[in-house]
Amino acid sequence: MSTPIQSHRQVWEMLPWIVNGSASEEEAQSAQEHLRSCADCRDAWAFEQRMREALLQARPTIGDAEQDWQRLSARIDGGPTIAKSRRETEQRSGPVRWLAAAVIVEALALGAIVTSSWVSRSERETVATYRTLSQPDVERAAATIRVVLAPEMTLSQFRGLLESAHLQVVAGPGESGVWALAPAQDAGSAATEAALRQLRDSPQVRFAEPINGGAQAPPR
Amino acid sequence: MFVPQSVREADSGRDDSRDRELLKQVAAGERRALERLYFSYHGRLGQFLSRLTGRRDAIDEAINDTFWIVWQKAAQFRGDSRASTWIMGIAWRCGLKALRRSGPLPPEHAESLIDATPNLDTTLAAEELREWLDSGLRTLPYEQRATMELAYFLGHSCEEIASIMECPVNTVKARMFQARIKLRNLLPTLGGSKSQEEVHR
Repeated sequence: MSTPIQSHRQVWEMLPWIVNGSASEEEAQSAQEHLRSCADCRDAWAFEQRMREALLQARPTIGDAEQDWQRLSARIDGGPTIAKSRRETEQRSGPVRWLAAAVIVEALALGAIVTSSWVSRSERETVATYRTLSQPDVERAAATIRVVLAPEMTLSQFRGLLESAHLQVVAGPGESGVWALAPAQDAGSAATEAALRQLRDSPQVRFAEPINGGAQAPPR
Repeated sequence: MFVPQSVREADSGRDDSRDRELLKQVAAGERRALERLYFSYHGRLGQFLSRLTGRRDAIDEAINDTFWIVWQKAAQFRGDSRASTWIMGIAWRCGLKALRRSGPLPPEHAESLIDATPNLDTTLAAEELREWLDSGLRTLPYEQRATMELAYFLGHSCEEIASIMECPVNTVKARMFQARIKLRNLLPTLGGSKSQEEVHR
């Protein structure tokens, strides 16, 4: 990039590297001469400067450096080789494997809830039960999706996502943070798939998986 | 008419010497040197990686992987580039893995940005403009976003970005060209009144 700049196009292409200070002095001088006589490039120059100034503005800190450093230190203490570390990473695989394990636990819990509900229903044939008028009849809904949300997701965002995906909460969150969702209206598997896609497209959804066959509501 | 403010003169002199020295110490197994490098780079790595993925866990893991590799491979730094170029090259590769694992950023639609163009006739709050540009960057492919971030925010040269992204210099130029055209047409009043189809013809 040390050849002198001559054409308008060359100057225009060089502007970002002059703005960020990485162009040579010779290139900057050539561009400066061109800018004196070229209103278009002066305009582009102003754009580049304002854009860079804006991008250099202080931004919210991403992550907790101290906490992340502790994680790295622990990794170094625990693994002398990259190969070992990768295996550890894969074993952890970020949150994915943990979530998979959590989902299995949650599935068992949900199964237990459904089974328990079914068993207790037969008892209700003979034993009086009490419900408040406002209590939703969630037992009618079959959970078709399990989802784990990012911690930063607000309740209103979750509500908005549920509405747009036509879903409702059936159960959750469990201790592992898993919610069980069901279609808000009677819908087939295609609707569940569309809702799944919508959930997975949300950056605030960590995990969304179908429940095979749904957690069927007990017969009445 | 203009005086290019070189961030590199500050970075490439004092900071690069410091980083090279720290890398030497890391290669000798000094954890304290790694810690200093880590805290020096954590913010910029987080910012850079956030251009690739919106998943906090993926960003954290990519930063962790980057410095894990720095810890393991510091002795292989030959010193033929800035230390920051070498580290950002590692971060780029770790970021690509994170991108594959976590999926892309949710797309931003250019139409919505045009509708929300900040009013530049008044004193524009820099933060408002930055937020708008952050959204504008999300309309670009990730390679273009990363190129812009490496150039404007981190001050890398075209050749350094080619080294970081392991691609030809002409590819970097083409990505920068396309990104600038698109951003400029999304916010034509930022520099003047002309769209870039007119300007660079």
